[in-house]
Amino acid sequence: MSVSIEYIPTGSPVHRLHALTKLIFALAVLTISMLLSQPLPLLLLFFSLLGIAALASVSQEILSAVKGLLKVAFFLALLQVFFYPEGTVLFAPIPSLPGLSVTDQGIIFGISMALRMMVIVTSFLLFLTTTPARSTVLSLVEYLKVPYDYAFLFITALRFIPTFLEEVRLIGQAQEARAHDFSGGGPLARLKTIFPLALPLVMISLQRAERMAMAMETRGFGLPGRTYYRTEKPGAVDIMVIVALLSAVAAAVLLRF
Amino acid sequence: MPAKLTGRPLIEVRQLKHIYRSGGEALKGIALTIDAGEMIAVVGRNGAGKTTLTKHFNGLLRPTTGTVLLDGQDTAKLPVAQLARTVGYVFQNPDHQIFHERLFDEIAFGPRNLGLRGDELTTRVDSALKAVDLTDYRDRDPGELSRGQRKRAALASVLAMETAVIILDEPTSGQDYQESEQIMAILQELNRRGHTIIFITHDMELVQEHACRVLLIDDGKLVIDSPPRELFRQEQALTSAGLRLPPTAELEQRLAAFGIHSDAGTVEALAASIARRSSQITARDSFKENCSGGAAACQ
Ligand SMILES: Nc1ncnc2c1ncn2[C@@H]1O[C@H](COP(=O)(O)OP(=O)(O)OP(=O)(O)O)[C@@H](O)[C@H]1O
Ligand SMILES: [Mg+2]
Repeated sequence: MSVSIEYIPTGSPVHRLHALTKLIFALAVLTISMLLSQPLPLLLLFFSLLGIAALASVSQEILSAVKGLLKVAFFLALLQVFFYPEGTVLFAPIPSLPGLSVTDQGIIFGISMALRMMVIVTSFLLFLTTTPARSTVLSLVEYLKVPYDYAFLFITALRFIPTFLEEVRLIGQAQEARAHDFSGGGPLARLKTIFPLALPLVMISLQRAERMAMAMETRGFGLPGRTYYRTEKPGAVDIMVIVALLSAVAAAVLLRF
Repeated sequence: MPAKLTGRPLIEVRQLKHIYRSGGEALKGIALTIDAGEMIAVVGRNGAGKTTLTKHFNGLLRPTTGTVLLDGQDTAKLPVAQLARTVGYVFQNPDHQIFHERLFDEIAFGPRNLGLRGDELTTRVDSALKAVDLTDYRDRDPGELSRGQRKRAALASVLAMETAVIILDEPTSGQDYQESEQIMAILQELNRRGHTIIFITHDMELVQEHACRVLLIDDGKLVIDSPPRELFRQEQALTSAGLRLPPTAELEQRLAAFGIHSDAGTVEALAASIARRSSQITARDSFKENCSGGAAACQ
């Protein structure tokens, strides 16, 4: 699964929105999806996100990520379906284990849960693919008063996910090339086959962190009195979008309670 | 080797295209065949597609379209772990594979995966360690080794598998002169014993000295497939692929304009032909001075 969550500069209207607006968007979608409990509204929310992805010309990336997410979502739904206790029992796969029965409410809950997960991840993917990391840091620091170090930490962690996935791929290949079989045997054996992947990954990540710390220090990271070369201000469109988002959240809260 | 007996190529690449999912078309239709026992250098600028191409030879990457046959079998239909019995691949970065706490076990990882145990395993590992000059570190933690040593450790871990084909992605990068020479000597020796060696490099002198065939890749295409000497005659193609002639080859070409001919590609041969030529010149000049009344009279 290759998930690109890097900034993709397509110059769409969505890209031109202020980072703060898009961050509020992602958080608003998160809040609304938590308030919705029925599959249908969640599904509508999900499709509107895909619509926005099309508007931002990042559909291809978002769809390939969504494809990967489907598996996780399916698994999540299955788990909920089997372990949700309330509702009318539709059928019980193992009669002696009543906890494992499938109920009507369980199915709805499982599907909603899976959809909610998809909605939340997609909205953050949208944010990440349409917003350069630098703008995010700036808006976190300037408007949300997050200390620069934390904002930097957050964004660096995100920035390194693609590199990290690339590393995973290369290490996997290097071990496969030495005839290592990652797919072997039962669950315990399967766990053991992970070591040749996990250990080099940890070592490489530590090396990278150390190198990066050194590179940052030599360039004066952490000196007091940081200044910014470029500042960005939200425009009229941003204010309108933010107001709309906040009203949507308010509406969702009112409908729920 | 069975490939020789049947007369079919060991590796056969047909109309190979590779498109990365998150990127562009890295290989744009490559066709070539490799016979058992060849020693091949793959050259080309950064991002040309060298790594992408060679990773198809052992199934680490699968063709987007086209086919890659290894000993007549379609690599797309076989698991990498099985192809690894025939084709070993040494990655550019040794840290992508090292994970044992003892060098011996790191080198033994591949052979163990192939089912080797006991004395045979120990012999294989020890001789691989010896080949890369790391015997003294046998029981040490690979993490303590220098980067150059770790690189040789990675090489040893593939050598110990004794595969018919060995592919190396920039085996000498980050090695000093002596270490590079040592690595190339190992490869040459393996080649002499019948192994097919394919190495990616940016060092044109290595190509000149050690390869019998060069594949020049540019922009996902195989631009030239020839012996090194012929490649070096096509300076235009080399320059447009972002490469430069090795110094001796360049000097040979410049000297040819002065009527000094040599194509052995070594400093010794060049020096000899220059010396020969200059003694001719000295002889002729002294002849002129003695017999024609001085240089001015000749013009
Ligand atoms: N995993 C990947 N995903 C997307 N694109 C890739 C990936 N790996 C390589 N590429 C792209 O494919 C092209 C060929 O890359 P490749 O690594 O094969 O080049 P190379 O000749 O080995 O270069 P170098 O000399 O830098 O090692 C490059 O444009 C590269 O950016
Ligand atoms: Mg490469």
